[in-house]
Amino acid sequence: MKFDELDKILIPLLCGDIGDSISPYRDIATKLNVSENMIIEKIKYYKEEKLLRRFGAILFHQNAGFGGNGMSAWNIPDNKADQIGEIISKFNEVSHCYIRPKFDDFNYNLYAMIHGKTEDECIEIAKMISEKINVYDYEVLFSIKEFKKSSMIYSKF
Amino acid sequence: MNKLESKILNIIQQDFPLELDPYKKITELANCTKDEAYNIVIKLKNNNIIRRIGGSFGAKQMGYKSILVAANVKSANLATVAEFANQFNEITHNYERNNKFNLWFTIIAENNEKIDDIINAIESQDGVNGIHKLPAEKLFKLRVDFEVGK
Repeated sequence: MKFDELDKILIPLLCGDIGDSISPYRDIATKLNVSENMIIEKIKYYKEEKLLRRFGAILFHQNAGFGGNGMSAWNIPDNKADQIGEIISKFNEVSHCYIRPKFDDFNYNLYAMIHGKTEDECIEIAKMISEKINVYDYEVLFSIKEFKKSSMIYSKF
Repeated sequence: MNKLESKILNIIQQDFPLELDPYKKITELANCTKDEAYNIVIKLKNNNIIRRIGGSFGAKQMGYKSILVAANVKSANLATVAEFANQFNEITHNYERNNKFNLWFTIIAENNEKIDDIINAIESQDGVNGIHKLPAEKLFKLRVDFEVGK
């Protein structure tokens, strides 16, 4: 992926907040001395190339009514991980699903972030998942405290 | 949040319109005026519902490396270790969770050497009993839209 001079300025900008303006693309275009169409085409291009996972309003989801954010961790036989990962991912309440390495003192290899209105709801969803995949060795870890939550600003590429 | 606010929030979460007049598109979808839509967005920002409007780029796609790390930290040292970790721009998320491994953070950096340097620095802080590196070996899903108003 080759980045030009405009990308190098535009991408870090898009990692921040462009939402204060009623005409965000015009404002960026003016600031960067290019056309509005160029800005829009660039963003579309980033989306097509899958550089940009999403473009829009990013929420403080806890304040938007999604108080429950449970990281479920599952002990899945290695040869079933792919298949089970696909099943878990189909749950709407699951936003992220990954396979990660297991350790003796943390013997889980499949991680699924569950979102719900409350923590109890997340626990219920985990129970439903457990029954669906027939795996009962799992834990749901809740965030007791958010020490940091920031967006990465990509500036070296 | 009222019905119009929820509607607008759902529209702009999924896909903020990529056209010359994005608010014109929002008003078409939400059936309101441009001023109404814009004022709602600003209100939601001021009320800390919307964090920002912008893009989330993929670390891997941008040529960066990322990793999840779990640490087992003595309670008495947890706040200090968390604060130490927070100073790194490369640490984007940092949470206390209810487990023996009580500190979970993500690192996004240009290369694995940088990641390892950061992990080593944190591991050598007082009270850190153990660290596990949890790189994603496979990703099934990555979608974070919250449908509001339901």
